[in-house]
Amino acid sequence: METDTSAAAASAGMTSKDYYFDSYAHFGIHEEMLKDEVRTVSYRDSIIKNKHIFQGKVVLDVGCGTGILSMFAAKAGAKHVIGVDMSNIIDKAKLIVEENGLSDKITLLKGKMEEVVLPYDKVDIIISEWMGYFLLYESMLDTVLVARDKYLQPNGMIFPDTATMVISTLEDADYKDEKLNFWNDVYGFKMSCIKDVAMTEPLVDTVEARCINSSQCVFKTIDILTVKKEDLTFNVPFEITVERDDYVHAFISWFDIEFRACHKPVRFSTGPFSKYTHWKQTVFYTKDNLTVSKGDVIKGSIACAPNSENPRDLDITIDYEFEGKEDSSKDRIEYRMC
Amino acid sequence: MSIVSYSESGWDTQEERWDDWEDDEMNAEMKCLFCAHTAQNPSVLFEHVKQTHGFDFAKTRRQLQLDFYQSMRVVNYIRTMGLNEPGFGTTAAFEVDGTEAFLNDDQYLKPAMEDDALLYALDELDLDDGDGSDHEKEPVATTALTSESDLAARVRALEQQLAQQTCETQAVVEEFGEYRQMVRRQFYEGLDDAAATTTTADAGQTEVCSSDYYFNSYAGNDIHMQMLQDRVRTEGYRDFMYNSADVLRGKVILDVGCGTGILSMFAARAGAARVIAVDNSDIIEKARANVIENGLDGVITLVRGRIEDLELPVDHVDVIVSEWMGYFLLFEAMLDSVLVARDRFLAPGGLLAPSASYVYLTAISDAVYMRERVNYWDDVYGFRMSAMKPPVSDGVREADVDVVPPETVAATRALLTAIDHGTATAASLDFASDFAIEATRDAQLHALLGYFDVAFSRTQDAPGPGDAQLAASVYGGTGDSTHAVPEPASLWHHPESPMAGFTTGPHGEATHWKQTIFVLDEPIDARCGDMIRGRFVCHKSRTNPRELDLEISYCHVAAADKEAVVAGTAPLPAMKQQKYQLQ
Repeated sequence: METDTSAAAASAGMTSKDYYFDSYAHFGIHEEMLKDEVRTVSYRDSIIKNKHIFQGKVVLDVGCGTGILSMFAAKAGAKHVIGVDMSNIIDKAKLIVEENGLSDKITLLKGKMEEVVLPYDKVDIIISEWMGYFLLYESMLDTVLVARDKYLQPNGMIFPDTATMVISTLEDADYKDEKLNFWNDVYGFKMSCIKDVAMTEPLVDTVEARCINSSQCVFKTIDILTVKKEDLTFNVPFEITVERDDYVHAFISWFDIEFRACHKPVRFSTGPFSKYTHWKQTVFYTKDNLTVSKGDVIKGSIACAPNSENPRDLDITIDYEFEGKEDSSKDRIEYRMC
Repeated sequence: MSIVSYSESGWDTQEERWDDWEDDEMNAEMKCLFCAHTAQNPSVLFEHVKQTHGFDFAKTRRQLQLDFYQSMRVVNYIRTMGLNEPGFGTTAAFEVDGTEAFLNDDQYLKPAMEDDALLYALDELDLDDGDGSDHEKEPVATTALTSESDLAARVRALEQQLAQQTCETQAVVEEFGEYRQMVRRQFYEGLDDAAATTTTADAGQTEVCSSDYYFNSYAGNDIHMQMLQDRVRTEGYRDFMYNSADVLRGKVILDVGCGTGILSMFAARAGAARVIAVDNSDIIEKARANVIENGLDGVITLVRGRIEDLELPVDHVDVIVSEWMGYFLLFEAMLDSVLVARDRFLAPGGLLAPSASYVYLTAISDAVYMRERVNYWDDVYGFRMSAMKPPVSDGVREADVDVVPPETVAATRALLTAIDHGTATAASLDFASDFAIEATRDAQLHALLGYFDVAFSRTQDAPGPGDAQLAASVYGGTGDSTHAVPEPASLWHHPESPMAGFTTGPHGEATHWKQTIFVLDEPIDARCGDMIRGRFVCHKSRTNPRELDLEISYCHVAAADKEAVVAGTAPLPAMKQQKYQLQ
């Protein structure tokens, strides 16, 4: 997700956030991502353990960041790896590639995917770590699609090639209280107007698996080989079955990633049942707390679209309808990730 | 949301619009409150309003004795309603009975319509309706009496809807503080004065633009939540203000960089006669909502702008309260603005809260930090990434900001600078200081560590603890290093301590300021009692004054040689020099 932040900034004009994001301090995100072992090891395994796929191939690394994926590909026997990134991090990547003696195998290009000139008309494989929070927030998938449509050979491969988005429900009495009701009594003062805004901001945090109290519904599957940009704006139904008598304080979403092109498919999940990743999970607090019983069904739809004023922000709307044994509720809640 | 024509504009654009007003006002057309009809003269216009729409503004104003601001609110309220509800007041006549909340809601001081010439004419209208004696015979409400309750209910519903929308809208820029002043200028001081003010604003404009990114970066909720939830910080201010209510009672208090308004509300609740809260970020709109929600809008006045060029509604303030501290105290240089506020507005003998601040240096031994943060880049999944180490360009290292476990502290602390906020100047914030610290155990010292304390005195004449108290906490281990270093935070928390304050040091509760880590190129192999002597230089970066350039030169004196070196009978070991920046 590193490139897109700067790419969008360059096109939308630098904002305060970008000023900081492009400074050295923001390189901290690269440290966080590298130290995310689920992420980095999954990429490493999908590349290094598939030397037969990478051997002699031309590989394009979209949003190469520190160059770690490019170096994996080079180690896996790629003929040539082209890394593209818009951010200043690529200046570090150049030093890193050189330090590891891979300059002859890896070419790094600074710029927007749409504008850089690749030394090849077509590439055999695209690798990219483009995922953002909630999969799509500040994600670089658009850029990957540009690269795919312009450079990928027919029958070329993309690592990873599948992403699925999941929704479930969450018991979260303590934290919801701490997070939202904080504004009801701030050292003796009320700050409702901030609470109202806090309510519309999805919370990115890790959630304990035991707090998930219903089934998990896949509401969106993205095939990176075929998906179109407009498919990323969607409004899709979901249906969740409650698995125990409990309370629902929030919806929760996460995503799973698959490298199906591998000899033996590699996959990882960013959900609460798997090891920690820096993507954590995304929590959408509901206005009402639902009293749910085992077997109750919560039906609804989730809509996701870039904000019309600031396309880097994501408008997410959750509609739900719930007729339970003990309680019923219906609401439409608009959230904004920004 | 349609009512706010300013919603997307920044501070500078607004200045421009005010200029426009001034140009347009002389012969502008005045638009009817309810329809597209226009007139050149307010009396003609209000006659139209009365005849066509059944609302007698002049009579209402006189009978309810509406003052200038209330009249203005009526106009802006009606226009706002009309924008939300086309046809407002045209199907049923509009009335005011004096109990409406909007009459005292400063939200409606903001013009609902750009360049509303009618607002200027309200003043003129004063002359017109003074002799309207025939109206006095009429009962208060002659029109649409039957629909009064319906109308009132509708107005209430609309008001609720509006209040809700107002609260939900993030980008609302209200500016009523400056607006009031601007209106005063326009009406009471004439065009010359207004023109002069405009020039001043223009002069400040380029500077404002360049720092926009900084102010706006403070507009998000997260950072304010983080700061509010920093208990050391927020409770530090709260406890001082509530425990010093006798000092603050009846005083005029200025809050510089008010954020969510929490400090202003503490001050108001502590009994301040008036609080003026200034901020140049969008967060001030949240502060305004917070102040109103807590019923403190009678005491707290919010003013958006830069302290360097705004005008306050008072000549002097008695107390300046501000939470201006950055990493390593001085990073991001907010203290400069507080000093400007002091020089412009603080009455002689006035108090600053906090009243003094202290920057300290110690040393840490932290192998885990070195392995996981500094040396992590030596082997990243089998690759080397030296380029990712905190950059050392031209020998300048990046200072790191992080929370250090107290058990890693392996030396006494030295006071680098003590700042009396009553006398400090912007220039004096660049400092050079000799320091000496002693290892409190055998340890590899990996880094020097900086942090700060602030003091809240009840009088600026004695802004902080006495030298003896400070010395005791600073050099507590000196001379007999086998003794444990006294807990420096106790300076502020001892029940008999004469001074309120808090520390951001590793021995205190963690704050969002964390500590500042100056990693050494070569760790120092220190034995207990060894001395690290040197000089610490800190000044604003020449390229970006919000950043800091720091230079530390130091040498390692073995415990056995300490006395002779201090006495000058033995030479100082060779000095090493390290440069850092905080950016």
